[in-house]
Parts: sequence; C-alpha cells; structure tokens
Amino acid sequence: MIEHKEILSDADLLQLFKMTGSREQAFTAIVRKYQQRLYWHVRRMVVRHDDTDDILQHVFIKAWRGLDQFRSESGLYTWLYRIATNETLTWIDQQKKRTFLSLSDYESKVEQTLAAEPGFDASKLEWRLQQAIQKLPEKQRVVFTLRYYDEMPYEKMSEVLDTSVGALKASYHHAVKKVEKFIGQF
Amino acid sequence: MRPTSEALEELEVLCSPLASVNPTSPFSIPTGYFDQLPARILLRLNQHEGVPYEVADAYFNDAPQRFLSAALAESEGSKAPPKQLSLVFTPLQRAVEWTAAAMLVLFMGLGALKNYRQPTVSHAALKPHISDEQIVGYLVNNLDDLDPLWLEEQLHQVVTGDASDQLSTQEIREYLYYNYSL
Repeated sequence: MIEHKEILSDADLLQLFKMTGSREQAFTAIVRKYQQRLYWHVRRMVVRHDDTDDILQHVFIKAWRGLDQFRSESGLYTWLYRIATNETLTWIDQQKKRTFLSLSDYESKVEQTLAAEPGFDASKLEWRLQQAIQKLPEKQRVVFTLRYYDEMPYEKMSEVLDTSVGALKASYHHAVKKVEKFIGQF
Repeated sequence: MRPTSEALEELEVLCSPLASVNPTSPFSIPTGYFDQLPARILLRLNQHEGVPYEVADAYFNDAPQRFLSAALAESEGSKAPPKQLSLVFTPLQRAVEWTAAAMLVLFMGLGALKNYRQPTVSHAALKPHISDEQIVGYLVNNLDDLDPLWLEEQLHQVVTGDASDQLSTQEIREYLYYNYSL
C-alpha cells in the first residue's frame, strides 16, 4: 500500500508504476496528484463539466498507456499537460467538424453553453472574464489560461506547447489586450 | 488577491484591472467528483481498455523448458493404440449405399425438372394489365443508357399500330418530351 501519496515525487511514482504489483496504486496516486490542475485546464477550454470529464478520462488513459515508455526528461507534469492540451484541442476540432459550424457559429454555441452554466451572471466580472476567454482563438486561449490561471513559466509552457518562448509571450500579451478590451466594453 | 509571482508582476505591467481579479473559475463541479475520478478511470481501463496482464519477472526465463516438459509428459501419457477402421464392406452395407446414391440422384433430377417448367403467367396474359406508359416509365427510371430515338421508333410501331395515320412522329416526340423529358 502506498502511504502519503501526495508527498511522493514524480520520480518515485514513476518507479512504483514500473514495478510489478504496484502499478494501479502508483497510477491512482498520479491521478490524484494531477487531476485537479488538469481538470481546470480542460474545463476553462471546453466549459461543460461532462465534456471535461470525458476528455480528462481520455488523458489519463493515454497516460496509462504511455507511462511505460515515458522518459522523465520533460517531467511528468509537463507531459500530462501536453496530453491534456492536445486532447482538448482535438476535441474542439472534432466538435467544429462534426456540427459543420463556421467559426462565428461555433463561438455563439460556446457562448450559449457558457450562459447555460449554473450560476451564470453576465454582470459579474469572473463570468465576463470567461466570456472573454471563450472569444480567444483556441491556441491563444491555451496560452492565456496556462499563464493567467496556472501561472506556468514560459519555459515550461514552451515544452508543453512546443512553441518558442518569444512567440508565447507575444501570444499572451495579445490575449491579455483582447480580454481587457472585451471586459472594458461593459 | 493572488500572491505575488512572476506571472502576476507581468500582468500588472500589461493590464492592472485583470491582475486584481480573483483568478478562480466560477464553474461548479459535482460533489465528490475528484474523490471518485481515479477509481472511475481504473474501472474504465479494466472494462474497456484492458489493463495489460502482469507476469512474474522470471516467467519467460524458464518458459521453453517448461513447455517442452509439458509436451513430453503429454505424449507419454497418450500412448494407447489408435482405433483401427475396417475397410471391408458387408453386402448389406453396399446395398444401403447404392440405394442412398440412387435416391439422391432421383431427387436432384426431380428438382431440376421442376425448375425448368414453363412459367405459368405468359406475356400475352400480362399485356392488358401493363400500359405502355408504365413500360416507358420503367425504362426511363431503370435504364441508364436509354436511347430516346430508338424508343421513339419502337413506340411509334407499338402505340400507333393500325392507327399510324392518327399520330404523327412530331406528336409522339412532343408527348415523350413533355411527359418523360426525353
């Protein structure tokens, strides 16, 4: 039995995962350690809880399959964020293709989804911020949420998104200006 | 208010109003969601994705020897002589076989004869029930390479018959054009 799961390092968890007999326990500890951060990362992109849950399960199933081959150069945290980001962007792409929606139609659908969330109140700043985030292009949205909510350093973000630090800084600055402009309209 | 960090300092430079917003998401989550998620994922892995089976580390080291021993033990245990089949037929067996063969040939012959009988409904009997219009409609719907000129010629002979002096070629052509777009 793995005790004190929350204090085990990624390296320890990976070692336990590769040992016969403790795979499931180690995997459970990994899920517990990262589930909340990954959940919010996905949720801020797709809005609905059910969609987030579905994507998050796919993320961890992919992680299970890939953990045996995982080499810890990039770090478990970065690797999981990369899987979550790719799964989320793929899901958004599929939604657009499946429903044959144009960009403006898709944006209005996301706005409706957001407005249907329990407790939605367009007069409150935190909801207006969510509306502004949903108006950003997907990749800019990822950059904004990783930096604004997760406060992820640009170097780590560069590993997750496979993009240069300079491009990420520029993308974030543009996103902040757009969000500021949207919020300032009210 | 969020704690001071590199990201916050950057945000204050970029846009001070956003820096003062509490960075928590307003979305709600079902109660106990995070407590149950690990178990749900493992269950899904076990049910649908298939968790890979685990084997002892040394399992494959002595596997060839174990397989060979098992095969040898089985071959030694099954040394009973195989059952011999007799190839000598008694006269009764031969008679039964010939009878069965003759009956089979007879049934096949009767079946073939039945299939080659003439159809009970003749073309002549059907003709009054199928109008020329239905025939043309069928041809238009079912023939991809229908030749309208050939059809027109055939219709001229069939439809007008003795009354060829009553309908001109032009009239037939117009009829086909307006009714069948030919």
